[in-house]
Amino acid sequence: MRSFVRENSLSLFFGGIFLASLVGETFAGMHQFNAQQAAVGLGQLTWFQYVLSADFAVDVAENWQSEFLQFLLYLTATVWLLQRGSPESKELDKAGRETDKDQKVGRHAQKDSPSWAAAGGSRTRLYSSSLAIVMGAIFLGCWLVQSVAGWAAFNENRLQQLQDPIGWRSYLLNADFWSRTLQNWQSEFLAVGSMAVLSIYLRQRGSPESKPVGEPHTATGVEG
Amino acid sequence: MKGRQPWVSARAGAAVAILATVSGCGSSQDTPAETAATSFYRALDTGDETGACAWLAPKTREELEKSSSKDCPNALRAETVTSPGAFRDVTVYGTMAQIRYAEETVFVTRFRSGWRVMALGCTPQAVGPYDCEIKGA
Repeated sequence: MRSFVRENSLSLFFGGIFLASLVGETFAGMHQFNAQQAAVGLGQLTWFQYVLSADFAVDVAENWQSEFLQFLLYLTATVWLLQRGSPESKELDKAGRETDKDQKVGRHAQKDSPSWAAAGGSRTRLYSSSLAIVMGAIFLGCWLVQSVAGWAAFNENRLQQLQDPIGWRSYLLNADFWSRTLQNWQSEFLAVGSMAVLSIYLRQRGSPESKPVGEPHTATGVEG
Repeated sequence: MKGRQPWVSARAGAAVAILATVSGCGSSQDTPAETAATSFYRALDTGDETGACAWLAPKTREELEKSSSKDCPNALRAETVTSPGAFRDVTVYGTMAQIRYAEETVFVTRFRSGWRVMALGCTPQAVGPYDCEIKGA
């Protein structure tokens, strides 16, 4: 048991703080929503009603979609794009999808390689991009949920202001949808770009996301 | 009331027909949001202004009393609330709903105790929000 926890401590830690943060968000979000409702003399939601509300759904989905987009772009951009001196970049002569030998696929697969890496053909092609495909699907799914939940929350607000609701397609062109989307995207892109550049010059001893402390600034694609 | 026949004078003749239209124009079951509006107009129709006031959102009731300097039942008696006409459709988003009738639009809002009328006698404007005869702040 102790061994299991130690060997999976990274995913357990992030899974735990994710759930704690999400639960915290339900309570903070409910109080914020109810305070806004009370200010204009409207009804309050219970915790359960708030968790099922469009207001909560759009707040969650807009953050989730941007996180999965961030990793999707980082995953695919780093196939081709390089950053001299960054541990987040491949070595400067390795841009691209690399050879089958480098990637250990088809006849270059090892005994313990995943079976679809050794299978060849469409299964290997699919498996070779499976991480990006799943990340992309989750991103698109979350973005779709954001658009629907955001549309419902936006229309709820319009009705409070004695205005007609608008259609989903109109909402996709509305500033509210793009404001929610872009405010999340810009923060993700800033964080990823900062990591790629700051890790050229700065170190975190012991982290695989950093170069070893003594590694020169010019070393590219070296992880600690 | 902008040329429309006041509810108070329409009571005797048109009550049954109006109640039929307000209550859904043949639909078998009102949504809870519709029920609030239907109940409000039904109470007015039967001369139960106190009952009608119970279907108003607190802020709407407060504004009505403030603007008329009367308590809610007397303010409703003084108001010339007209028939909303035939039910057309209801649109619900979260804690808010818009109920469109032939003659006007009603906005209702959900409280923990149920749906209440937030604004009534509303007509669309070329630009901006609906213009409502009775509404909250």
